[in-house]
Amino acid sequence: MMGYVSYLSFFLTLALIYGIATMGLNMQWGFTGLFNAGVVGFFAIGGYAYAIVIGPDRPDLVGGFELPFVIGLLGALAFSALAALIVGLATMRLRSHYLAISTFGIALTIQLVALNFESLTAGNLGLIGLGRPLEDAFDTPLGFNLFYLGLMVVATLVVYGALQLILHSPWGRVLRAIREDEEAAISLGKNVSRFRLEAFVIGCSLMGLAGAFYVGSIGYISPFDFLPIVTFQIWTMLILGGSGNNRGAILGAIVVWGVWTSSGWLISTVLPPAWQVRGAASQVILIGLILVLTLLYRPRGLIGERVTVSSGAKLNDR
Amino acid sequence: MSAVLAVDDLVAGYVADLPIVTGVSMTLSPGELVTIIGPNGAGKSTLVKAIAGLVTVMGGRVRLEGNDITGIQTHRLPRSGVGYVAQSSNVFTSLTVHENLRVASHTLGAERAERLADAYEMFPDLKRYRDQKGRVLSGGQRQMLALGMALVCRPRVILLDEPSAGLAPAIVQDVFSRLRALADSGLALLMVEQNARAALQLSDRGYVMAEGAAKIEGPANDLLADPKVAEIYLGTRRAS
Amino acid sequence: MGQLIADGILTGAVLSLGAIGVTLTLGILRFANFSHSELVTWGGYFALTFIAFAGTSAETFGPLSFGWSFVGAIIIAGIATAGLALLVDALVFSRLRKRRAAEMTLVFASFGVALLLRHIIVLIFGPHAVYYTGTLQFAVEVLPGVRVMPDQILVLVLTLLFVLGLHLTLKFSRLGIAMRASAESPDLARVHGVDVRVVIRWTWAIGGGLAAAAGVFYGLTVQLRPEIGFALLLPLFTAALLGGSGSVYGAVIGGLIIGLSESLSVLIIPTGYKQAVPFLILLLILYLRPRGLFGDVAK
Repeated sequence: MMGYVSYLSFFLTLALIYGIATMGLNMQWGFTGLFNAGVVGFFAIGGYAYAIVIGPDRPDLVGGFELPFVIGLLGALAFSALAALIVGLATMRLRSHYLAISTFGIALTIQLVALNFESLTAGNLGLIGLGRPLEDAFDTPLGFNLFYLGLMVVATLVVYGALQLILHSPWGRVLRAIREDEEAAISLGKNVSRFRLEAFVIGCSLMGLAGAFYVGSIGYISPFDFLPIVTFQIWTMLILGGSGNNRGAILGAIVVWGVWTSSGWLISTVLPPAWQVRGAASQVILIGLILVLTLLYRPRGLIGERVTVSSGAKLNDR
Repeated sequence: MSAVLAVDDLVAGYVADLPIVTGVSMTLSPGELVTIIGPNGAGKSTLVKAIAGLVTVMGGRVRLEGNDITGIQTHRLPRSGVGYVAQSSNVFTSLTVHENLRVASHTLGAERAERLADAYEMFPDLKRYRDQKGRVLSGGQRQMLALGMALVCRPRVILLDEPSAGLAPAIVQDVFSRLRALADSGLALLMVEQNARAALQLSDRGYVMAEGAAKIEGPANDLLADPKVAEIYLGTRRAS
Repeated sequence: MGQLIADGILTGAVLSLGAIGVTLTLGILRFANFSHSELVTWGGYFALTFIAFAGTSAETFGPLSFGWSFVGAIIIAGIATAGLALLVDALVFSRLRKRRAAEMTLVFASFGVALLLRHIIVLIFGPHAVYYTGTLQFAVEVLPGVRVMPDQILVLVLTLLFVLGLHLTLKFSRLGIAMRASAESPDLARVHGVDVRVVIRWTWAIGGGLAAAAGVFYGLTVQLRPEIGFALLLPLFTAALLGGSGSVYGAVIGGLIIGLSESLSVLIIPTGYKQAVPFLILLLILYLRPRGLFGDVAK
């Protein structure tokens, strides 16, 4: 029984972590119309920044400052924001598929760095024994898991509240105006690329924060936690939940992560070892199916944003 | 006089439940040049686009020589006998003049070479620019090419969406006199024009559209003389 | 150095064939199809399936590693992959087009389709690398210090033929001119009697067929893996964008530039980062010439 509770709390913890990343993506796509196909890259930067800031000192490696958890989170936020700023300055004037392919390339490059820059990341061995916040205060794994879940619930609520606040501020309204009608926003004297850049940086910082929480919950980091599939999972979470709605982002994260873990569990218990790889493939196929079917049959997702544009606003000239 | 094109209570628009053309009826006979005028946003362009199947038809009928062509698939226009000259970007700028004419003769078979030769004969300028890209043509030359393209399939009806847009006045006269000559040869032409006065002077009949409907219809000269039309739609600066 | 250039040209030829499909979809269907490179993988595996059923011919062509059955495999792979592309269009993309979905919705869908196509390969064929034949080939010294396999020379020749054939089709045939017209303005093409749906189907078929050729050539000269398509995604797009979207010649030149720079990059950066080279080039293009080298399609 305790085992199930422990497992369920771990499941929810990860779902909420992905939820935070999905809200970051929602900031970019749902509210600003920026296609970031490199989500996992910023997730990884946050994770590595956190690991290097809080990790134990290691003779051969750069980093390992043994700083507290909270400093680790701040480091993750700072580094992912910095990376987003650099990437954003280079790509914010690009639209749609150019931005998508660039960010996809960035994520790939970040993965290569994680694999090859061994003095910083320990390469494919990863960094282990990172320790988890207040781990020693709990006698059982269950205790820690529940504590960390509580932490994630609070983090999710804080992120959600903060996002609602800024999205309903004048800044958030400008953002939506840009998404709906860029030219009109420009003619009103709004610096469109600046708003885009800000939204991009905020979104990526949240992905970085999620990466730090992720590493914090499992206590180690390896490049294989940051495969491109993570980007697609988070995208599917957003599209399924309903882009443009942060509650949808959280809901999508829980549903997709639920489908992912339960199908993974089913495969590992039902299929013989020789079929495990194929089983893993069908797990990804499931994600692909959810994405495509949602786009085809429920384009606004489970609880998508209500259309607020006047439908006549975008007509061609008569 | 039997109509070659008959539009009956047509309703059309881009977005469902938001028609821009709200019930227009009109007819067009062989040898007629008919002009639709009206203020911006009256639905003139939407009307011809709807006849051509480029805009969703939500109600009403379009008949061509008695056959129902309501909401026709646009690519069937040339074969059913309708030529269409779009507003401004009406030639392929990345294709040569000859390639443009080849696209226009896409649906033709063995007669293609002959028809292309006819087009070059009718518009000798095009022959000179045969292998030039559409983008190097002047505005007037583009309009001639667009007209040539519409004629390649020997239509009975030509729809024109503001053929004078962006042209110098002298060239507008040239284009209009070409259109008059085509009508005199038996073709039926329906055109939408902002340049209402010049267009009506050459037309047989006219329709005045406003708010998606045809408000006034009559011989072109009557419309020109109608003070109400003059005041509202032809511009009030005219002295007389 | 000479060897690296030879290798780069060869990689470039395969990339060119794939990039042509990307650029055609960008130009005519007007969206970035992130699942295109998966068609490359499928082409390779279709050929493998054909060979598995037909058996490898005992007799090989001269110094080449294969015989008649391989010729059949290329043709079947081309047809089957074109069919797969048409199927995906009918099931997914054409439905979204009918709904007049936004361009980015099609891009999302293509991401989903890519996941599906790639992992169905794993499901059917397993994750391991495979080869068409076990025949060992000896490299021939074509220039001092430059050795290539006879198969590789054939790949180069066939690529040239395919590109030339496509060039002539686009330049002179009724279909080719209709394709270029549709790329510039679908509505204007329709008005003049072009059934754009037919043009779109041909675009898929040509893109799929060339992708299959790329896949077979990759399988022949390197190996066949389910991740080929994924690894090619960035190089193909970079080649297409470098050339200018919609430009076939651009895609070919772009493919060669990417192939050569990947190959030559090992002279200056560690091999582990080779995969990032296309991305660096992409950033350069986007800074210096976002329309690409030959991007002349007015958009």
